[in-house]
Amino acid sequence: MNLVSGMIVNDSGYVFNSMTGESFSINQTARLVLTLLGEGCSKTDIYNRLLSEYDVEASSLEADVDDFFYLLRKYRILVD
Amino acid sequence: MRNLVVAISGMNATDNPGPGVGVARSLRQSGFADFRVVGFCYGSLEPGAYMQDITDVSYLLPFPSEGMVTFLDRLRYIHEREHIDIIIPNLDAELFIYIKIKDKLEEMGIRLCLPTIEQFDSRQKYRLPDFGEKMGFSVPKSFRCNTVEDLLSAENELRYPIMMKGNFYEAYYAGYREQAVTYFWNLLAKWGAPVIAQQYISGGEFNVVGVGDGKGNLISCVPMHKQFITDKGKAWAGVTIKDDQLMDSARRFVETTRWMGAFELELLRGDDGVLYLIEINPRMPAWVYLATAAGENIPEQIVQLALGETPSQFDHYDVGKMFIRYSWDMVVNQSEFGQFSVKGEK
Repeated sequence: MNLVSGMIVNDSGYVFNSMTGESFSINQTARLVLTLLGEGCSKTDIYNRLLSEYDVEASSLEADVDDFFYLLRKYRILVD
Repeated sequence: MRNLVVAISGMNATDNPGPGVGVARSLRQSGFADFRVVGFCYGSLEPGAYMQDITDVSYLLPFPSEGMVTFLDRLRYIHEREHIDIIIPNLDAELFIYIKIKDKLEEMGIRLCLPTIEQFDSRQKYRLPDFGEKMGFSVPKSFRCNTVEDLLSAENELRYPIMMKGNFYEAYYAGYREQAVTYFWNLLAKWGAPVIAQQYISGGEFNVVGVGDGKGNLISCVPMHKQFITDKGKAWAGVTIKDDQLMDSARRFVETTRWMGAFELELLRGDDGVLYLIEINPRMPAWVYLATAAGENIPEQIVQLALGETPSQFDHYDVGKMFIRYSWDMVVNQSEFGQFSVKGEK
């Protein structure tokens, strides 16, 4: 599970995938997730980090993380 | 040494734009110090003819369908006045005739950089499935329709929605039979037979512009992702990307066909992840200036190839360079339009 090479994320939350030409707007939390993925963190690491940083129910966070990872794969930002 | 004179067609910078303005704009930024651009137009409302920083002079041409003799006579007349060195034809519908009269033009001292007639024919829309199979490209199922009956029999192999495509230009999404039949008649009337009924594939559209040297070498290549597509299927905004699979497709195309000159591959990456070859255009696309702005001046290379020179090598192109097309109302004096309409030159 890796972030696609050639992905550009700027400070304002604009993501450009230079392999596909697609671009996205992401929020601060999503930016943190992409940063952690870029540092080589696993999905479990990211889940634990978000659980410690945000006031959120564990079950709700798990569903949100699953959804976000689904979208990352769908848009070919995350590849196996 | 006198200025190089380059005649360029496709000055129809409209909602279904020809590449001429982008080609001329690229040449204005090329390494050629002095040259004149002669605009070749098929109608007196082609905007490129009135763009003073694009064309130095413009002429009306008869449609190629009026016959080779009429067409050649007009070119001879223009050549006597302008002393043309190179013609860059940019429209699908005129390429066949230019390939046919290339020798005659060369005798007149006019050079062109064109594919051979065999290369040109091999990539015709109706031959795409055979072409794809031979080259190892995945191609959507395509059926050649000369009559409505052909379209109805294609329904045995295709499920709606389908794409209906004109022989030269235009493609429409048809969700059901009645819509497909309407598009069939419209496209037949406009572009002649055959009309192509093609399997619809959902996915992202990508285009690649490139140049082959006629010996199997890819000289340059820039892939682009369409970001905004008009109802005529034209890219109104796009961005350069880096995709090795697209670059390999262009390389494979040029190696296998030994393509000479410019080309554009239209590809689609389906939701299934498969890359499909949709169309091969035997010329530069209307968005060619994006490649120039990204660092690969393809029109410059075409001029060099036509002159028999070794084309400039560009190290790289910028990834993430975007174009956004826009419309602009040019104001033209009635006398200028009148002169062009009546005299056929301005």
